[in-house]
Amino acid sequence: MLYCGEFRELYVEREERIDLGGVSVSFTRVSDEVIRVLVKYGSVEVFQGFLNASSRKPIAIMPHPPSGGKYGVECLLARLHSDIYVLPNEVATVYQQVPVDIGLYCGSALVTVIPVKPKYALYGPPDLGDLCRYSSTDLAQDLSPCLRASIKIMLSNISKAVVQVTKAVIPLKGLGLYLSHERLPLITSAKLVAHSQSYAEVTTELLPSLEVEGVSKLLVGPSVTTYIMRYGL
Amino acid sequence: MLEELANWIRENSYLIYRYTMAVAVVLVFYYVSKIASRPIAKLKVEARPEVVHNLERSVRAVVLVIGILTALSIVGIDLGGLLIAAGFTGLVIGLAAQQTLSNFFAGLALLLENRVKVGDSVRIGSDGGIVEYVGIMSTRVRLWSGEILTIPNSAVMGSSLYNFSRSLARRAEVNVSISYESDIDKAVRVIREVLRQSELVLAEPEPSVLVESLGDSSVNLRVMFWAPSQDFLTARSLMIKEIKKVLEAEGIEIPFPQRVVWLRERVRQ
Repeated sequence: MLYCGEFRELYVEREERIDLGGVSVSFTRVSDEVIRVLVKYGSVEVFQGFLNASSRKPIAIMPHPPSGGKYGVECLLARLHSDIYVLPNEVATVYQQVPVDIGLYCGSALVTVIPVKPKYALYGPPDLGDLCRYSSTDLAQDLSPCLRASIKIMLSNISKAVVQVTKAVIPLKGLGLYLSHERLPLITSAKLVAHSQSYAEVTTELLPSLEVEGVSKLLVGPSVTTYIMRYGL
Repeated sequence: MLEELANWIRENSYLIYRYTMAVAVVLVFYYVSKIASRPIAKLKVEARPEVVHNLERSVRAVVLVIGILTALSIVGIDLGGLLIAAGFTGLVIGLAAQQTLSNFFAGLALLLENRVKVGDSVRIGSDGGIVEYVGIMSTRVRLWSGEILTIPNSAVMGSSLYNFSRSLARRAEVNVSISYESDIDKAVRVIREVLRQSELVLAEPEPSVLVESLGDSSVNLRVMFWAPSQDFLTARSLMIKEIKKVLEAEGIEIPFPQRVVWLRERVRQ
């Protein structure tokens, strides 16, 4: 059974390195109070920073829901693996793989969120639309299972015509994350209510997308937040 | 002499009183205009700073004009006749000050239309820079090279205005030429992969690589992709560099302009 033991606390005396299947995080103590943090994706450096932490303070990396990244975006555009046709007054459920980001903790405080394989997309026209974080099955499948999560999206059609759903735009603020007993990331779900082919409301929900045995630890609290998709499905 | 002065004051006391009142009224309205315009600057409304600033100035001007007209009526000047004279004067001034009025109305249109605001990255005609100030008469732009350019608003309204700040993302186009001996499909594939891997290239709208033409010396490809506006130039530069690197790594030649020369041998008689 898969176990993501890399998500743990550690004390950095000299140097520590964590490998997450393609993503490596290394901590190097520079002085009694300062640690250098370096994150690489393959051979490409994606993050470098200095953390004020003595050797008595535990450092941890934990999975985090997709964040806004360098542009501080507020939504996630999840491109569905295949188009879904939803009949009037019917509900369909899809599971979409999304990358999870890495949360760097010092003690219990979240220091920063490091995006994993960040890609962005434009939803809507360039002047009126939104820049969103992008996810698709192709993007996530290259990642280690510890760095991706399945998000459950319930597609509900309340219009009188069939709607074709190709993507869902989910507000990042509402996404939460649980850690399963095997330390696998469990991301919370979302519901898309289609009013027409060009208008839908996407609301985040509080429960994890997958039900697992055993107690799951809540890492990032979800909230009920809505995004209006007004530029089509 | 003092007696003459005293007599003059006694005879014109009412006139002195009226002029004193007129000056007092103007002074009062001047301070009222300042007090009246202060709340506008502090208004917590969603309005651009230049709109609030110009509104504040307009309110002060209106209150002051009312004060001056009130003072003139106290002095005894016939406002009706004054307004008729002002009408004719306005006509003359309008003809003489066409340029100034043109700038004024253009400024109003700019503010109301919301074409530009402070902080926007723009190109007006051939000049590009950041908008620093939008006034009633002129607009001030700090050029990319650092100089300050003040443009009369009539020129701003009359020119083509590119506002790069209004769009979240922009489309970049890069032309790439490969040799006729190269595998076109392979070139397209590797370029697409480079675009797919880059954080600065948007996944949607999807990038495209098209075979545009068969040139004299090369097969010409047109690479189009979208990038966030704030990183547009960086993204374009980076992609040109990465495309060249990956084509070289894959053995795909970017050719120099070439000519095939045929030498004809003269037939000996």
